[in-house]
Amino acid sequence: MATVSFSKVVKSYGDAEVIHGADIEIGDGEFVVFVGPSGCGKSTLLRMLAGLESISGGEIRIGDRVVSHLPPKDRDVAMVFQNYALYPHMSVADNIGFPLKMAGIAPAERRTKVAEVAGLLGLDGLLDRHPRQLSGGQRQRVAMGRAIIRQPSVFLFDEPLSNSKASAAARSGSATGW
Amino acid sequence: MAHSLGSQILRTAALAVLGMIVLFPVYWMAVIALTPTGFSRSLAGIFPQRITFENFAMLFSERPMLRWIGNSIFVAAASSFLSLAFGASCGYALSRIRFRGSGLVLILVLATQMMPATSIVVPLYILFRDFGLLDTMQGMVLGHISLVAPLAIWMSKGFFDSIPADLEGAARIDGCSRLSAYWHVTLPLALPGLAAIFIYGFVTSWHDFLFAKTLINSQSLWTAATGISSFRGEYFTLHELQMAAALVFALPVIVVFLIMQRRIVSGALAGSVR
Ligand SMILES: Nc1ncnc2c1ncn2[C@@H]1O[C@H](COP(=O)(O)OP(=O)(O)OP(=O)(O)O)[C@@H](O)[C@H]1O
Ligand SMILES: [Mg+2]
Repeated sequence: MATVSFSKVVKSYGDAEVIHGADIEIGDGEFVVFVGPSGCGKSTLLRMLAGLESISGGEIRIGDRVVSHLPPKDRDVAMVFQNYALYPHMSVADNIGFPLKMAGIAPAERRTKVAEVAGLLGLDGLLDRHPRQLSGGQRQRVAMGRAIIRQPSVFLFDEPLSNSKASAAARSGSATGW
Repeated sequence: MAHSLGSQILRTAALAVLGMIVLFPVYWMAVIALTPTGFSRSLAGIFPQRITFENFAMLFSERPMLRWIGNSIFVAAASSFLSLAFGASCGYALSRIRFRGSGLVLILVLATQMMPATSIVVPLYILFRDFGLLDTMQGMVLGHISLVAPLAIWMSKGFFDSIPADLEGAARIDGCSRLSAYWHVTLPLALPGLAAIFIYGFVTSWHDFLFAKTLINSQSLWTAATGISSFRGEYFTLHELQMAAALVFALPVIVVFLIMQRRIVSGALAGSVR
């Protein structure tokens, strides 16, 4: 876990300004929820923090590092997408273990951790299935498993509760778009 | 029951007739190919009278059929593979990166497809002559790339468009660079589409006669299409030999298709995003 701070962050798509100078301070271990009408910029805010969208002005910090121009993989964040974005060609186990694989962790250790996370989310028994063979709620739990397995500094959950129990998300979140 | 027995019989009969119409030329090709050299004109009825393989033997012993087929395989494989690599890179960029003029690029690429090959082949000949590419394998491959690459770009852009960009975003958050996200996520998902492009490129190059005839002179560099045409002389044509060659000619395409079609499955993206 780490602190997150936005200072005077601006985002515009062409002429349309979507985020108009956001100043947000989030403490270490704090759980924050952004609430707002559809299209107000919640997803955009999270995507900028993750590094998937460039920012048009201002600065974003995670801990004491300025991350505004770092690629996503160097920001140490994990994210559950609004649409889950599971890898359709990989099994549930490979989906959850993918961040560890990219971190260069050996297969044996990967399997142990995946089993641990799957147990936590009630996914054991589904590890060999592919995303298309899962229900909506199960897919969401896979997406969560993929986010929590690596223990990053910041968790981002985009609309985590549209499909599943509040408690599961609340236990594991740091910054959340609702 | 939705279909009565009568309508089912009717449908089966219609399909059988259609199948016979479609397959008859192929059957006739085989009949002539199996007839002794010079005797196809005296065929009576639609069945071969005496079956022989001498035409096939002659193809490979007295004519450089193996060489021609080899040349064709080389040219088709090289040009479709290179078109695929080039087209997929361009298609990916055009699909994922927003830049000024990307629409114009797409239109220009399409415009090259609007002219018939016959109108391109003369300028191409002059260009190749100036670059010393006439009568070379490289030139032949390059010529075929110019036929295949435009459609490869368009088709692969379409395939990449259908793969949600968030999948790559997820991979990049999970520790991938742009390149490794492409390698681990986008490329495997685009494979069915890329296989279709490869088949298209292979078949286009395989069947090309115009470029092969114009850009290549030496008999040792002929492709199979040019080879087959050589059985047609000014005064008489060796039909039996030509049909045997045509049968052999069809085989590699069928093999490529059978190998690649297993990759063309639909529904690869199911369950990924809601
Ligand atoms: N690529 C884009 N080009 C132009 N405008 C965009 C683009 N992406 C998003 N927007 C606009 O930015 C605004 C914020 O979008 P965002 O997805 O962040 O909304 P949201 O708050 O997450 O909404 P929802 O609750 O529906 O998910 C919207 O008005 C949207 O139209
Ligand atoms: Mg949103």
